[in-house]
Amino acid sequence: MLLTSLFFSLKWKPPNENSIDFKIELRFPLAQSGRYAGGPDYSAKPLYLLYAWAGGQDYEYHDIVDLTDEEWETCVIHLNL
Amino acid sequence: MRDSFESMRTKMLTAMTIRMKASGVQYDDRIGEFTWNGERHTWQFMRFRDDKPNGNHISIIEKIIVSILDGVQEDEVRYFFISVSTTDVYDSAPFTPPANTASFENSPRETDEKRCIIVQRRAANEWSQTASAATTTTATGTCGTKAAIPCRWKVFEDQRATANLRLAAVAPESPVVGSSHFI
Repeated sequence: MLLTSLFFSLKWKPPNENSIDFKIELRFPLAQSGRYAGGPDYSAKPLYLLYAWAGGQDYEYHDIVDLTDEEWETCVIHLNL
Repeated sequence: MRDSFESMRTKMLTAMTIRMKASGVQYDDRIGEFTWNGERHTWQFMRFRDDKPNGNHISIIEKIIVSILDGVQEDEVRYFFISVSTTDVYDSAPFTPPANTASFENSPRETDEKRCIIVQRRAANEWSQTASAATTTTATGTCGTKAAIPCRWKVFEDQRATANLRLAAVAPESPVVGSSHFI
């Protein structure tokens, strides 16, 4: 009886399975020279920002994802495939 | 040779990113599911959540972060169940199931749950104290310690203020591109 009631009231998840849903936003730096000067520099690694929902249409900046160059490249390549 | 290879690489990346942007696939305003990577101290992308119109609300996010920081490991839960089943962890208020089933049905379920949570916390605390004194080895191997759990958000009140400062410092003039959201 005790264990049964305990079992059903336990809402436990391992810490690494606690996930949060953010809105993703990428910001590219300005291209200084070359064909795309003045526009976004797509060869550069962007800032990978996470936005938290603040209700309605509002989003608040939450954090930056530290992305390594390799991760960004694999990200680009995977999205192309 | 090295330079030409590097420039080829950047050209390829640029072309691919532009193709990605022009491919007509909607990457704007996408919701992603992230977990906390404690080793690298950053968020880890898991999957896109296109089924959700919005991300988690800020209030929910704070709660999830608390539970990430709390970081009750599998071993602790396991230990708790073992300790309940072998010894009686209840000290102050022993739980006695009423003889009459009908009265048990009528009893407020909430208090029962609260008591369970209190006992669960206590067992976890006990466990973490013993675990720090001696390395405990269970069926799943050596237990993780509390110190391994990251703590980037110690003060929630200051969290957004520091985050905004950090954004201002890192990206003072980084342009918002096109429809601004894009991956």
